Amino acid sequence: MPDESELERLYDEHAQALFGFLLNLTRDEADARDALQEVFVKLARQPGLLKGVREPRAFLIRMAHGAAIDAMRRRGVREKYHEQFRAEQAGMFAPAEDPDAQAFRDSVSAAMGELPPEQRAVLHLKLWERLTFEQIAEVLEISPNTAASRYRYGLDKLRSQLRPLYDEITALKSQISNFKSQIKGSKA
Amino acid sequence: MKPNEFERELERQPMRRVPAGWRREILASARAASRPAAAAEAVPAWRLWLDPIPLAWASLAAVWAVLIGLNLWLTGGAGGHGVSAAPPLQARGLEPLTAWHLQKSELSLLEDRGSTETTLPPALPPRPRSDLRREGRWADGDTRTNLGFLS
Repeated sequence: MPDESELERLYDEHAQALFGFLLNLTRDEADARDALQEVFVKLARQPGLLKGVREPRAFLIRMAHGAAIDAMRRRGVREKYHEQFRAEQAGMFAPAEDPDAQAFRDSVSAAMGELPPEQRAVLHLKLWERLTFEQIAEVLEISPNTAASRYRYGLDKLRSQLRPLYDEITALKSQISNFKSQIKGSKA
Repeated sequence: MKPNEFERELERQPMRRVPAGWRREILASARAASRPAAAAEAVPAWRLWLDPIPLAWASLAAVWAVLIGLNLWLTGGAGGHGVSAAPPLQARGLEPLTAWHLQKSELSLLEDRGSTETTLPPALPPRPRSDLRREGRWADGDTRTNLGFLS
């Protein structure tokens, strides 16, 4: 086991990113927690797991991806078994004070939930982890071209779903900025 | 909506924070999960084998202890009742079956000592023909000799 302070350091550095990815991928807080715990249990059990790894974050995301896939499979079996299907999906963004911003975040979260998990994973890693397609390809064990095409398809779907709300919000924002500049001009 | 603007807008959305309590719980479970492996190396194999059902093994050991005690008491008790222990029958050079019959006859003699003075001694079981052939009695067709030990 890596010593306790090392494990704590890994948690403090990477748990937030892993949690975001896992929550987006699994859409379920309990599954995200299970997968996150699985990653750290593996790290504790196999002390040399990160030795010689150039990019620990990418390596940990890869581990988390495997754990999330397992969690989703288990949940699929569980839901099939109990004939329960969850309608609600875990919100992936931090709550916003501004109601418009909150509405946009909720809509993005819901739209992401409708994407297939493989597109969701690529979008998340590109948008919120800022990985290149080569890095994404390595993490998800796919080709860079596949990663790029999944990103494009996913983004197009999001854009088409969010266009009305996004246009409305951007129009409101431009109105507000115009109004502010008018006030500044009248004061001057 | 410009493509890049939309992407930038998405990127700006902050992710939810990891629930605060998870850190302690997850790190504790990681530490706990790593401990059994280390502990298993230190524990001898026989303990690992016995550990899952200690009550069953203890009960079995107790049963054995009772059986051994009972056995010791019974054998020791025979000496204590004033009956001299006879040497083992097999030590007298008898076959087990013959010895058993002899023991049985001795027992019946002891039981009926007073009333059965005229009781005939019990018949010994027939010996294997091969023994008789070895002695040369079967070959000469002397059936009386063959059955002689019965009379």
